[in-house]
Amino acid sequence: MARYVMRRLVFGLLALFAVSLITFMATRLSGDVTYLLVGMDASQEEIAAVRVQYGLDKSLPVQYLAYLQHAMRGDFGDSIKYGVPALDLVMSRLPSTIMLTLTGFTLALLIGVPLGILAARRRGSATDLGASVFALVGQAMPGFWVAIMLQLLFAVKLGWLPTGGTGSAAHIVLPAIAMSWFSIAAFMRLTRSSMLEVLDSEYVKLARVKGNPESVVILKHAFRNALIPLVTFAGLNLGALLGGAVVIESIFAWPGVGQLMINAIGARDYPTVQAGVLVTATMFITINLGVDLLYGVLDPRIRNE
Amino acid sequence: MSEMSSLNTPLDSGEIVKIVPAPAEMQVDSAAPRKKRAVRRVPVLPLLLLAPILIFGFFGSFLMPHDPTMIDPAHALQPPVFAGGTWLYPLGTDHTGRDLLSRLIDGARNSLAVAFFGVALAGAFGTLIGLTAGYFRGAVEELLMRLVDMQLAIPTILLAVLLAAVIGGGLTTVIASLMITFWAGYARIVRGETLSLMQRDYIALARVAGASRWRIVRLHVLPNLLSVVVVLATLQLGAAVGLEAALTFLGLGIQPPASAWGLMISDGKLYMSQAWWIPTIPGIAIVMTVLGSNLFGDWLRDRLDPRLSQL
Repeated sequence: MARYVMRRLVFGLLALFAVSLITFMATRLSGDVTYLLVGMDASQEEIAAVRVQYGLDKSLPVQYLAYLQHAMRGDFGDSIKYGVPALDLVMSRLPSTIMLTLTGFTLALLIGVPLGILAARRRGSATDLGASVFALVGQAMPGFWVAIMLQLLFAVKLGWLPTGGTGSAAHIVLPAIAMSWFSIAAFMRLTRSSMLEVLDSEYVKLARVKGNPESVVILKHAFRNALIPLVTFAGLNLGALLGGAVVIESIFAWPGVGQLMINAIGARDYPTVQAGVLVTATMFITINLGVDLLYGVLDPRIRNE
Repeated sequence: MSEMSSLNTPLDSGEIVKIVPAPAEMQVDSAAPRKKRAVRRVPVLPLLLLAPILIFGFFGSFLMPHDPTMIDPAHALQPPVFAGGTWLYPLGTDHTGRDLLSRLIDGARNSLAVAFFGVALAGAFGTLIGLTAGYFRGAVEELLMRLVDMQLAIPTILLAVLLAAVIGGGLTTVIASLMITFWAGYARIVRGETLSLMQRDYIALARVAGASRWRIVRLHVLPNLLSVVVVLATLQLGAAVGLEAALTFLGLGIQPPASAWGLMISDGKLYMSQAWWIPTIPGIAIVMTVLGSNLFGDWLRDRLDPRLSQL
């Protein structure tokens, strides 16, 4: 187990390192950053001074190391648009994003998994067919369009819920549904197929033969074993939701990191985009690391690999 | 299989390669065999879903009733025929009076071209990486596959955002984002396939016959990778159309005044209280495309190679 944990930790660190390298390269790829910092009408002396001040006169590897040093201290520079440290800006928006992501995730689990169990139990029934069609069509709907359709129906036409923004519990309903839409379908499909596989196995048949009530067979014997692929997927999905938040937040004017980044792109506010990407990627990688470790606990075969 | 087992005999005596015959009991699992569904000869539903989009994509220039970028404020926000409009604008018009059917058709062409190109690039690059890893093994494989893992550990939308921040939105950004998103999938699958192909008798035979590495790859490995790559590409095409639309919707992809489904939806979002059809119709086109290509990919997989059910 220790070896497994070490391997995953090293991999997580490497992935973070890669993200930092990519964000660094991306800004340098865009051409000379100096002009972003000083503006087009700067004199030669000003340009030279800024180059020295920001270390832009050094070689790329040296620049990267300096960048890494600053990044580790949480220093991504000041936001060009707001003039405050970029990381502070991102951090102030982070709770909103986490809240939305977790709400969406919970919703997806609470709807998708029971629906999948139900479909597997009544294989071939109308419920199963309906759930499968929903999963198939639901997964084909792009999240941003679902978001707009929800706005159109529940906010514009029916007026039940607000179109966007924050302020009350009602404000989170539409963004959370839009965010979890794809995941509900995905969880449903995966739970169904995982359950079907397990329900076919010898030990579930034995549990039935022993005369256990159906609910015990389904929940205790079958579902617990069907969980393993679900846990892996849930982890990946939490990360995907975090990425999806970028789109959903900007549609619903939800004040999270995603909306901040999209607005920052419009304003060419690189430090903010960089900080946002790194913070989100760090969370994503940490979640996946956590899932890998959890997976090791759940499935002894992995631990001893 | 029969011609392969007949190849076993001369090689077994040669002790150059060890051939492991596939044990018969591996096929029979303890679990009851799943009920086999007959694979349709013609995928009716996927084709029905994809037909209009493909026709738009290929023959769009003959079908567009109006110029998709022509602004006509006098006819702004006309409803579609089924909501009380006229046949002059079958799907209505947007806030600047542009004909939505023409924009939908033009958008189909743009969206399909971008998705196709992105997936093709990803497929070519991913196949190259997977093939290299699977063929050379060792340190090369280790390095490349860790790279793949790493790619899968970074959410794509973030890379797209970063890219857009640096080079601005546009065709390059979308196509690069599609490539970055999808190459790792090919690399993984192709590596696995290459590993298993390398165990086959005919590869061993080709080696014995003195074929060069490049010849083995070109004649014996690549052709056998084709079906898995094609199936994966078909399955990804739908996802690529969806991702392109999302990036374009955010303003990171195809730029106005060009027509794209994502653009139509983002324009329509602002006027949805007066004209619900503007954001609705292009979304339906996206759903049809994604669903159609997902189902078509499933069919193709079952048809070409039922082993690939994990794709």
